[in-house]
Amino acid sequence: MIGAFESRVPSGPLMEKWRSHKDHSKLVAPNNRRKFEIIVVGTGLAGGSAAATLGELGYNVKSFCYQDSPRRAHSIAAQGGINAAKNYQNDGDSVFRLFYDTIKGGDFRSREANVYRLAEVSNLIIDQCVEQGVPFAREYGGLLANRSFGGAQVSRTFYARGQTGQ
Amino acid sequence: MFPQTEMLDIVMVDGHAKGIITRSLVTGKIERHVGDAVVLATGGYGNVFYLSTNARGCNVTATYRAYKKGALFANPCFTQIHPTCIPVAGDYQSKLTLMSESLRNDGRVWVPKRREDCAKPPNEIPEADRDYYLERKYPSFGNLAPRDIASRAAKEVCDEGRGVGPSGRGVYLDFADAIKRLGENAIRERYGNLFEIYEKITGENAYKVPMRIYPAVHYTMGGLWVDYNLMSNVPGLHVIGEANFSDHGANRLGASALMQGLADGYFVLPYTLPNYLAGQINKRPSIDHSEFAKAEEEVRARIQRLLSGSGKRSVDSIHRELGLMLWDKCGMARNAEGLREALARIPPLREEFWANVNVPGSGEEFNQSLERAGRVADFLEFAELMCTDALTRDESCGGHFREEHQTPDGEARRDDENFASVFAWEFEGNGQIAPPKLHREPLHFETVQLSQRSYK
Repeated sequence: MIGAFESRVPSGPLMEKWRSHKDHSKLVAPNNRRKFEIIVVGTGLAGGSAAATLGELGYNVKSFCYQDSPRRAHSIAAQGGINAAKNYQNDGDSVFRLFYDTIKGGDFRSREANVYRLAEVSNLIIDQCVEQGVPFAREYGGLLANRSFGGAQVSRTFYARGQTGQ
Repeated sequence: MFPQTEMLDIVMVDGHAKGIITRSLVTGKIERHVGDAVVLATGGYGNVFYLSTNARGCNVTATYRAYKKGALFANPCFTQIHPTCIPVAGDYQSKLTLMSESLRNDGRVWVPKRREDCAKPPNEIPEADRDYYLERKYPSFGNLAPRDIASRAAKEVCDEGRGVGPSGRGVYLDFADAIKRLGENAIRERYGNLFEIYEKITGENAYKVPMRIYPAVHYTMGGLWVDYNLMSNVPGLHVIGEANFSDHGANRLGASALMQGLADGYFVLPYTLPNYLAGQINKRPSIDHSEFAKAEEEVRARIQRLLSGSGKRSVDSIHRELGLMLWDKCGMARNAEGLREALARIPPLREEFWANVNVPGSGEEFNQSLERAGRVADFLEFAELMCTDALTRDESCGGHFREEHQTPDGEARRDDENFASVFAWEFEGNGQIAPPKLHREPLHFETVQLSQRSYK
């Protein structure tokens, strides 16, 4: 086999793995970043956000898509919304609950550490999107609105009508 | 930014991913691109089933070619069938349309209690003769049971002959109660554009009559294997979003795909990529490296081979045949016998493709038949990997429902002792197709208790 088949999940308590991993990860200095060319294939939400962030950090990014325009990637078809453990509804949500719902929803066939990290950064995504001007639905008073999705007993889904992926 | 450019291969230099070979979909020009690292964010492979809610262009080519170059493919049999899509209308349909799961916040799913009532207009079926089967079977989650469970329940009632609509493969999603409670305007505000899409496609006004829906292929949890840094086993090759396998296990919950895509792209990869890059300063190979020439040659030869056939069958006819077989044998329910049958039928279909497919036009121009032919050729190999995985995973979990393994009330029965692991497959065969090699990554649960999933 090429390379290594190791999950490289950091040791330590679940809730501290990601923070500690970030603290101990290697860095590339700003003046070295421009020496690197990163190829990103795909311009959906994952590829688009990666290309934008890496570009912002100073790397040279080459971004590819087969569509006529990156805006036509399939992520834009997403209708429902995006989960985050903000607990704005005060209905008992938490990072742990989002983690648990996701791992249970996946019928216990995913990595604990990855799923916990996902739940942990979910809140940052909402902040990032709001800063960028994503027109999430709001309550009459101006607060962000939520609805529920399958496999959860709380309302934690942020949405922009039926076209959140746009 | 390179739009209208399709990646056709990955270039490996000294065991590291250092570039890609692309083809312009407008001019047909083949190009080499060199990089210090390659990130694949190329989505899922749901279109292997031919009909799905994915865009027509979605394909497995990028991840499959990476697999053939040595990246491990994890859990390919974990596919998600979404419960609320507009039902199939006929044989010549090319894609399906999703109706967001959010509709289940306010819509109630039901079928008639008696088969005889299925042909009646829904408004004439009295409350007492309706079976709100999700609310009945899963009182605590009700209409918001997870997707795999809601899909299987719909299949079950249709298999009992209680499905509605012309094909008998449909169930009602009814908003009458919500409209009575909140008024039509509130519903319009929440889901207006979805009701419009529904009306455009079916000609029915869902404010007045219930929607008809049926499950369809929607998302694929499997994908290239990655470590905690989102790097595959191949140094330098990173995989994010739906293209990797990492976060959703055997079933993804609604509204988690956008979450994962943005988490990977904004907040994870930018931190973990330097773990690889830090050791790679000034190591980018030249674009004239022999590995680039070799990969480009392979891509050109393959395109020539696709164009050289003068057979009679269209690419789509073979794709449709493959898709129907997979939907039947490796769809919402699977069993060993059906999977073995599929595994026996895929190789001859692949031979038929290479012997008898007709791809008109040339490689040096805009040629959609050629694009599709290349993707379908990869689906024809990938389908075998998916069915092999489904056969080897001799348990039920999430969207992977093996009929042999169910509880007395028809729920998925896991086998944690033998299968609490990720199945990561290695391509073997040196370019030819050979049985893949299985590697298992055991899953360790330190925080959560493994339990029988219950949404009752």
